[in-house]
Amino acid sequence: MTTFRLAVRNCLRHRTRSCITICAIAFGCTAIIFVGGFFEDLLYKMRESYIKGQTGHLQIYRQGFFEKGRAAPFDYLIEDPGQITQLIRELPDVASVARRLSFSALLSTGDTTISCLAQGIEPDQEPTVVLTESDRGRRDRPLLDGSVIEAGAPLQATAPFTAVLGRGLAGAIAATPGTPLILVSHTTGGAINALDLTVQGIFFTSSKVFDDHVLRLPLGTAQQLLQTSAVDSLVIVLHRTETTPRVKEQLLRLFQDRGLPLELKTWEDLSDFYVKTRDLFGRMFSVLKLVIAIIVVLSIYNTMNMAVLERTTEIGTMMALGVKRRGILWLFLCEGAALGAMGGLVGIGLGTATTLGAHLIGIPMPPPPGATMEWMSQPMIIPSVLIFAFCLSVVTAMLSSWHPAYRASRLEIAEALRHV
Amino acid sequence: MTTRESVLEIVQVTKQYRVGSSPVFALRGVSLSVSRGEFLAIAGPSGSGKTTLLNLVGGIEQPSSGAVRLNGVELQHLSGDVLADVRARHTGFVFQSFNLLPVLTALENVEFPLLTHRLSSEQRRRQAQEALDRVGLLSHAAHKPMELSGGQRQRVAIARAIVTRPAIVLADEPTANLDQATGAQILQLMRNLNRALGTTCVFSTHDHNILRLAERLVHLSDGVIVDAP
Repeated sequence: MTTFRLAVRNCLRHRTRSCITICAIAFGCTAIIFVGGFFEDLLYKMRESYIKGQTGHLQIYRQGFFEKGRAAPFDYLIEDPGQITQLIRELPDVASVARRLSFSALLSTGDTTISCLAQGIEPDQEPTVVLTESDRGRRDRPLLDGSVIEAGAPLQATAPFTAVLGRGLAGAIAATPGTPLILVSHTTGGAINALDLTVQGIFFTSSKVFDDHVLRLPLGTAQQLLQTSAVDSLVIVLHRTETTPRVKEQLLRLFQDRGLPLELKTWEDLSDFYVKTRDLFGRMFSVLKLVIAIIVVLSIYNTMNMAVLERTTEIGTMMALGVKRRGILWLFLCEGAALGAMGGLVGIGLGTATTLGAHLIGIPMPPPPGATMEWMSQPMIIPSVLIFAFCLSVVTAMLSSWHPAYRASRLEIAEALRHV
Repeated sequence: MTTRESVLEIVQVTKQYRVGSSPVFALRGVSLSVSRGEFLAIAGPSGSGKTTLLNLVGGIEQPSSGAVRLNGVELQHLSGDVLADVRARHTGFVFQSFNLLPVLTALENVEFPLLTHRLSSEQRRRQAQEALDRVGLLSHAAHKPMELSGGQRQRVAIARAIVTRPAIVLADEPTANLDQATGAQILQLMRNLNRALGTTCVFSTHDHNILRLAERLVHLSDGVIVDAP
């Protein structure tokens, strides 16, 4: 008969009370597992849609672009991107490398003129998906694979004088597929130049601001408008987001070894909104954990206090039979841990089932801040959250048992034996 | 007549409690010597100090003054942990309300005091079975206390008290919660074990019907031994 086995039996002697305590802990665990999975799903979708639709996993610029390039972007262009592009494509974690040339421009339909941010892109290197009928009710799903063409067709390198417009930008100038446009901008030499384009399609991403301002056209056409063969950035998409730090290290080493005057930004550097949202949710999750820890502490404390009170004579008997004070302390701590472990295990089962059910059914959600599309939450089961929820149950249960256990261990034997 | 070795020496022991701001004496200068293998009864009315005296002998309480020497060990200056060891090794307790642990079976209750001894689980189990057999309850080994009668519970408690082969078994009114016939049987069982194992037994009672079984009788009144031989 070990102390822990005795503790488990003691937990089971008042089944109703233990059951209520275990339920309180289990519901706390379930809340942590479900909310943790909900946040993770939201952050995952936000992250992947940013990466695939806008930033890629990594972006490479000429050295100094971020510090000084805003005032004079054409002074910080990458003149010969072919060699470095080839080197990057040879890295095993890299899925694609897209060259981009971004610039400010004026966009006109003849009746309406509006400023926009134009992006010359390589259509076959940028993740783009076309919205299908089956996606209509689930507009968030294709966002995980790239920017989404909701009307018309995606850009094609073989159709140079075409453009795709962000949903907000197209709405602002009442453009639809087939609408003729004039794009006006400065060349890299400072002269004014213009191009006639036709709207090929309308796209959206997860960011309303982006969709309100961006026009995309084939890279060659953009270079023709700006009269340059250079690009301002290389956008790298990886097979897996988790490999970003590793690839970053590899690229920095590559730049150093070859003496390339380039700088590099990760998707986290470029996704300020995501990073702040993640931090905010992290804090909210911490508050939830704290609230649940307090609930567990109070419920266990109450249960253990009752146990000490009811079992005072028993404690006296055990000490009279030679059990030391620390043995009594340990017994009650074990009882707390046993309750915490039972609650944690039930909570893991309940939390996993609830989260799995919500994942399979999906929870329709309104658009998050800064976005326009509704989305379907599919909470994820995160192993680290399961482990955390279990550990939280056991540790807080032991902590809250400490005071009742200590009081039990300090009882005077004679008084405890006289207790009625 | 042979002179038996003394297992317990109580010398001028007093025990004082405070009730509010007033001191109350439970024992006043009690001296007593108990020989190994003796079967001693402490008689006296409620409040005479019987339980206090047994608590001092068992190391459950410390005397206010005087000395208690059990099996050669002076108890009055020992720390809590050392006293716990002394209780575990030298003393067996039988309580008025049996005080069995309700979540344990009869056998596990008997085995419980052996957990503080350095024994293998097989040795513990064997000793517990042997002790339970001595009180005639081996067939009830798997029963929980709730499934036993009062007399059977007290038998289990006696088995628990003797399982460590203690120098002394202290029984505080062991028959008080039993009917007269069962109480007499319990006392007879203790007497038989005392004879068979040579275990010293000291029990308190105010039941005159069972005092006749005692080898020696000590009367306590108002914290003082009134007729110790």
